[in-house]
Amino acid sequence: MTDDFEVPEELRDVEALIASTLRVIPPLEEDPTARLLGLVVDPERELDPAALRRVRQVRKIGPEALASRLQTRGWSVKPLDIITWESRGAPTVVPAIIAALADELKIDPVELTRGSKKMTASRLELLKDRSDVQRLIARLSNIRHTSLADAFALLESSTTSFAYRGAPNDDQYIKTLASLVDVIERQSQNHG
Amino acid sequence: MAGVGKQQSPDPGALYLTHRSDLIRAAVYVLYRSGLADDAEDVVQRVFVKLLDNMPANITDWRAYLITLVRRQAIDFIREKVAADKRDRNDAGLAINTSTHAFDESTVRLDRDRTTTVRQAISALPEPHRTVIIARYEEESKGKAVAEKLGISPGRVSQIHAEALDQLRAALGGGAK
Repeated sequence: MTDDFEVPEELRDVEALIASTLRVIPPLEEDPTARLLGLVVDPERELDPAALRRVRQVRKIGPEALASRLQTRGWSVKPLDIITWESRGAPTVVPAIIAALADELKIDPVELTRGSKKMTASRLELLKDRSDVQRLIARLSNIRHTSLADAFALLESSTTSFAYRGAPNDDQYIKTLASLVDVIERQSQNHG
Repeated sequence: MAGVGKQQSPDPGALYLTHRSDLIRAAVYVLYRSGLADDAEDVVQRVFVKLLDNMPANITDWRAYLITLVRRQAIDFIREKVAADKRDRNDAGLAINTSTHAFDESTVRLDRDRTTTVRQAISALPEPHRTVIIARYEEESKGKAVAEKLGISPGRVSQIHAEALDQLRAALGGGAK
């Protein structure tokens, strides 16, 4: 906190209000409470798509019913998410959700996970160490109130279709990413 | 995982993910006047450690419940710090300020509406007042750095800062001087 602004006593309350409103919330990865609660992706363990599908089918619980149970527990999970996790993999599903899935499916969470597989690097993956790309990911993380990993995954999935076809060089690709983040930010502001 | 076995209770992780911005800001609001705003995340963590140990059931408004817990924890935290400070310095070096704030729930609700309302009020400030407020509270810049950025004297920055807070107080209904 800065300390070289003198504030008259009668303005201290409004100062506290402004300071609390403008407080920058740290990304989940840097938040010890988020780690404590299993909200940060474990880079070494991920949800095993085949195990999830197999156990869910054995328990005769459809994607809609499973999503509904997770929603009751407070998680924003849709049936399509379950289907996507089972068909395309789920490297960004956090340990807390894996634990909730395991609890609903009456299975040990370990049996729903596998060692993370390093997939073929996406274009975004290849560029992620660039400072301008890191700033975009951090910005999206702030806009969406998500972890940096989730923001990265969102950006990656949003740009899959044009990553290799529509953008001939890295700078143009990053410009397209920036435009996409602008759009998401405007949508976020419009929705309050 | 906590929350399991108690009907009606969401998972603590889901609650935290949904409300953490509001909770950290609620802690900052209480702690700020005592100069302890940097401990806001610690205060919120203490609340969730307690919840993991004992997750209540049948809460209808979790956000309001959690904000209340955070505010109480923040007040306890200030008291702890004051007591420790007194022990260490043998005087009352750290100011305790846990009195009701002018901008409590009855004035500006401690929720997403509040954030929107305050941000709109900041956006409506004239320049350079808006820049000074953003630099001071969002970017946590020093007065000298703000002065250099704007090409004005530090004294003028301080004056603009006070004017901006006064305008915000008027806009947000915090009462007259």
